Amino acid sequence: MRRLFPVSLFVVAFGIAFGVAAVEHGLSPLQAVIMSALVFTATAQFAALDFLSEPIAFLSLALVVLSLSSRHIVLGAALAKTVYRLPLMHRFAVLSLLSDANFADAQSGQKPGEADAAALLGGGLMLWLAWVSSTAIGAFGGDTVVDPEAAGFGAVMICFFAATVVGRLRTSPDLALAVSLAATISALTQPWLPMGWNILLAACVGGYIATWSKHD
Amino acid sequence: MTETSFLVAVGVMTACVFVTRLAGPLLLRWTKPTATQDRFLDGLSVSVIAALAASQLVASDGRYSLAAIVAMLTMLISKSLVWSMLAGTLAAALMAP
Repeated sequence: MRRLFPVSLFVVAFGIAFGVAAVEHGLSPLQAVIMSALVFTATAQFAALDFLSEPIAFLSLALVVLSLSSRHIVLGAALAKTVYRLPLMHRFAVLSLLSDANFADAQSGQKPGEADAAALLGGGLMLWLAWVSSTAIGAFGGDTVVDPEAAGFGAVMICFFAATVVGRLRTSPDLALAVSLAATISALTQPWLPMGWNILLAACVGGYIATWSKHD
Repeated sequence: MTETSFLVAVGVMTACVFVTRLAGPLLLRWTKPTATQDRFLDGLSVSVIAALAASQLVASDGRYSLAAIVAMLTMLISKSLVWSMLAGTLAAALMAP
């Protein structure tokens, strides 16, 4: 959880921004907090704000949220071995709190194919608390507008992901080609694929390339 | 927007996100992963993190690329995720306009 503290600062900045944006889109502060507590996924929540006016296009809303959250399918599949070792209620708790950041944190320092279930759950809970409380600050805080980029938080998440990849490659150098290709494909397709789909494509190609690599 | 519409919309969103969070493990429940599938999942787990980093780098300015390089070098030397993030973030802050 200590590793995720700097990331939670980044989450706080975006949570405040979401709270402000939600109120500007006509939600009450309480509604903004309820949405963050139940949905807990930043990109889909920001995108959904444009759909939350009468008459609500529920099918479009569902499709947008599904497509923006589809990377969770990949994260969940990669965690399957770890998840099925847990009691049923813990599985639901871990999966309910699954996000990019605690997924990456749970991978660091682990053997290939393994993940730290305690880091997933504890980290997820910390990020959820940071997300919900910062949404409340932004929603109830009135006109205070926070720009995460100007506040300098933008680099935290990128540094976290980059360092996590290096940590994984130290234990599994055979995955270097898969990782390089995934990063390249993600970067090249990002401008013209729908948000999130470049991640899915890159991750699947990386996984496929990994099947060619030698393994212990 | 009425209270009912909001609650239905949030219910739809919550259900959609929860389905995507459950789908991965459920898809693998009915199949016993072979060695090849294990390697696929190993590659998938680290590739998705690399893809997230690359995607964010494309959407950001140049100082974040340097911050990522600093973070990776620090990770190589220190093996500490915390120090890596701090070094990378500090590098980005120092280059802020």
